Amino acid sequence: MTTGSILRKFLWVGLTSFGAARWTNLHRVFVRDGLIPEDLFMRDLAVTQTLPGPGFVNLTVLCGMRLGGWRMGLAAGALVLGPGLVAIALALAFLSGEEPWVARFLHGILVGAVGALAAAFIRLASRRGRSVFDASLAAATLLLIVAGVPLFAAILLTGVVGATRYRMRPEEET
Amino acid sequence: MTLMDVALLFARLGALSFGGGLSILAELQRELVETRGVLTQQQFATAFALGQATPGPGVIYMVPIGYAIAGVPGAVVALVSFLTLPLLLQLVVAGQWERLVRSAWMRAANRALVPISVGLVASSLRSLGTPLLGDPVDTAGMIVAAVAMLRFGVSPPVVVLGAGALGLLGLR
Repeated sequence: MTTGSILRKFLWVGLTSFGAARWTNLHRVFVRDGLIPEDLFMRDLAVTQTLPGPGFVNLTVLCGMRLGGWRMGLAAGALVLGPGLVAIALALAFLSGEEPWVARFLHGILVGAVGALAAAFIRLASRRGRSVFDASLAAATLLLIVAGVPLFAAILLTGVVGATRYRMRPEEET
Repeated sequence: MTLMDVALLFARLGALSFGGGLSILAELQRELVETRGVLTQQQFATAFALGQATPGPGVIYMVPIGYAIAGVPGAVVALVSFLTLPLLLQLVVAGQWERLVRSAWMRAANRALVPISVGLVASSLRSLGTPLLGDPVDTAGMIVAAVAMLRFGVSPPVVVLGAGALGLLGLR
């Protein structure tokens, strides 16, 4: 497969990725088509889901690196970001949030996006295997942030408590 | 806010965004709207909505927020600063992954990050959703959107763009 056709695939992923679990789009385009072995893709997915940062962008860069080194990785990252950046640039250049129809449209988008976020939260929180301690850790994180504790301190505190608990009780690891 | 302030804020949040770019929404809103006062709640919500209406990574909402703070340079600095540290970390860790996952402490920390991410998403949901709860139509819209995804499996872009279309028609 030529470099150009691989880059076009990344651009297509950027154009067609919306909503949650965007990584499935990368899986469909690169793993099901046999360009990246499934085990390597899932390993990279685990890395990106463990570490902080935008997992979809980072997974795209790792996929690009597997297909053509760091240059392809950077190009892949730029290509998945490209369509959204162009759309935002056009919107900022030609639309004004002061116009009533734009304001109504964006407000509708906001309502839909918050509803989608609520759905994602419910799915995450109700996944099988969650324990009372998991729920307590999630609630503690939320309460610390609501109480005004800086994000770093909240994550550090709950992270230390959680890691210590799961280290002492490895049977709770899933 | 200077561009250096923008860079430092978004780099810090990027390094803490466990669970993806949406997990730090509450902290970003607190910094920009409440602590520094550079954006109003309405400006923040509008910039976030614009990012959600476009294809590509969810983190792209950093661009209109950076633009609202400091124009085009703010947009570029916000996005690049948010992406850089986590990407460098990924590249370093990816090469050591097999060794790291053998560590019991690493597995325990990894396990703890799952519920912590749930808490972070809940805080983002609270900060964005609370202002909308005052309007019964908005509240109903959020519920319908969530039910459409959870109960009927409607895809997120259809839900989000459909809500935008209804807003356009004045049905929000």
